Amino acid sequence: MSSVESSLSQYLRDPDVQLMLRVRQGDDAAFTQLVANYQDRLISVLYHLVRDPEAAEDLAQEVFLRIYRNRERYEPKARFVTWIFRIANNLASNARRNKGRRKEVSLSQPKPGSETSGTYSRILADKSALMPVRMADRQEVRLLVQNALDALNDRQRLAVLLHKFENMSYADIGETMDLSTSAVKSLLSRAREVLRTELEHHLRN
Amino acid sequence: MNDVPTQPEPNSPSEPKPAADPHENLVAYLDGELPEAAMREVEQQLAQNPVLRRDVEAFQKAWELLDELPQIRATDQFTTKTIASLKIDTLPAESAAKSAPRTRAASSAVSADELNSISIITDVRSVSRRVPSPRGNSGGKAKPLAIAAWFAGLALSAAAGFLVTNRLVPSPAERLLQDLPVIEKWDKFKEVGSLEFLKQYRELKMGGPHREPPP
Repeated sequence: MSSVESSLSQYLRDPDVQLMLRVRQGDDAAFTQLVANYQDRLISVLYHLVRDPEAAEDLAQEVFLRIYRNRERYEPKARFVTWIFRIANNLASNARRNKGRRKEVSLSQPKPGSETSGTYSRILADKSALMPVRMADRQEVRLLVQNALDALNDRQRLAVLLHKFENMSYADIGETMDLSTSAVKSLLSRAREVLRTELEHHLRN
Repeated sequence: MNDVPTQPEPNSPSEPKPAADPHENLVAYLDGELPEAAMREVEQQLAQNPVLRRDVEAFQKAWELLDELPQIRATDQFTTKTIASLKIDTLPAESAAKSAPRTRAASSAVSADELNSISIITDVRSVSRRVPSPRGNSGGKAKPLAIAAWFAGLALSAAAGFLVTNRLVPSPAERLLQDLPVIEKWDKFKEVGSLEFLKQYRELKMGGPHREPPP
């Protein structure tokens, strides 16, 4: 068996690929099942990319629409999860670019006047350091982590989200983001360095 | 269909080049992405270097803190809306343009009931598409004719309904008009008190054939 055939049979064992093949044959119930399987996962990752729950839902809906429109041309050449997140990544990138063209505030950046990335986390951490007894409550920790995530660039952020929440291997992340495995390794290493730096004060306290 | 519908994002020029990162192997070790030999090498380094051990610990803790990020879930209507949008999307373009929009931005005002009705409409349309038309390709011309016939039928029904109610059901205003002379002289009639006397009075006044001779 050739390596192509081997990987093809591997993909065919993916239950979501099997669902998608049923969708290709006109099984709408299979598509509803795919929507149920992926809606929360997609929206959660997209939310952290665009920082807007409504935009995340719109993008997720668009992902499903594109899959459905092209269902008749589907060929199982990858794991379903990498394929769907690849579409999501492309749509999110397009959305960010369009937003940038309109000279609006970047989707992934906090709004003006709100707590800004990095600086706020440092202020908060310094504040905590001035009051050693004080325990930062969960909301503050959440804000610190959110700001640390915002300090990553778009590609670092996606790689982190896919690795952390989708448990994707470097190879799968590479397939999703159109990168080599070594590029993913480097990307994640630098991303984790940024996270560590951003959260350093909190980790020390 | 691995040629995904949109173009992949080109590599950003600001993207750092791979390698030259002293922590790459350390992070890959934590992620379980190193081959056996490289893993043993990192473990040896960690055993000898307390600074590296602190780095690993910091990387690990920072990574665990990501669990604090909010997990956003789809709204209750997401599946319904998505499936309804898909059905509308598969309708002919002109029908879809008049029907429900695809995105939340455009459909935020659409209620769940409206979406249900959209689903029903699209279901009905999909069923009707499956049923072959006995008129074959003339369906395009027959549709406007059928709609015109429906409107004509509705107008006729409305006219018939108006006539029936106007003729058969007594109108309170009409009855009042008939009784108006009596109503106008009601006070005088009340004073007389006897209907028999009034009849006699009328005959007397008119001087008719039934006039009785004076006693």
